[in-house]
Amino acid sequence: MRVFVIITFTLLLSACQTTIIAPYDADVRNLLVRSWVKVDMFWQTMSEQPQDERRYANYATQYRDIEIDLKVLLKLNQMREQNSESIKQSENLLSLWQDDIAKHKQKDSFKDFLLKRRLDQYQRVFDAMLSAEDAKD
Amino acid sequence: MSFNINVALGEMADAMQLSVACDAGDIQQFALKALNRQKAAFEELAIALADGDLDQDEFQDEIAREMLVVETELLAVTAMGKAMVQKAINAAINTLVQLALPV
Repeated sequence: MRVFVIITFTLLLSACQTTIIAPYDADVRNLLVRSWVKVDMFWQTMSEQPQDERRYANYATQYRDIEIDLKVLLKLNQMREQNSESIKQSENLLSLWQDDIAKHKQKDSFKDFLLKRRLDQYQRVFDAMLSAEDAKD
Repeated sequence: MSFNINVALGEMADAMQLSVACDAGDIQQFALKALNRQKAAFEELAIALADGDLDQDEFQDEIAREMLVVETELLAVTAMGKAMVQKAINAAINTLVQLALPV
């Protein structure tokens, strides 16, 4: 009888394992790495142009292409249970990107100092998002 | 079949401790790195404002952006902490299952 109770209890405990965070998702990680490379290349390429030649129109297609990737990333994270931190991280990343699109469109130029800041900011954001995802593995 | 609850609890605690020890170092390392980057970013912005590289409006915009970046870094620490607890719980339960139901 005692053995039966222990086995039943163990099986129940095993079946009811508490889930407090979403499991690791390799697709999300791959998209994160790909987006990080695209964003980094985007700013690197822009930095090779003189400040007064950084017209918004020259970058509109790339801005939109990366925005789509970031929206896919947000959607993938929203589809996972117990994933509030990664969802908010994705929302922040998308907000930063859309802010850059809006400001670049408005000013039709991009300062050297702000470009340097963008290289650092997006590196920190992607590093934080990857660290969060990798911790789930 | 013999099952000693004291032995089981001891082994579950060991499993949790080992799991936490592995992850705690990573969290600490990330948090320290993030903190240093945040400090450097705010210092850079203050210098840029003083030197005229940024006007007041741009400075305010950059501070708002920086707050989003900092929040994203803090969320990573929270997620890493939750993942650490999750792994510790899983390690304890797996240990119990192995002890109660040896293959």
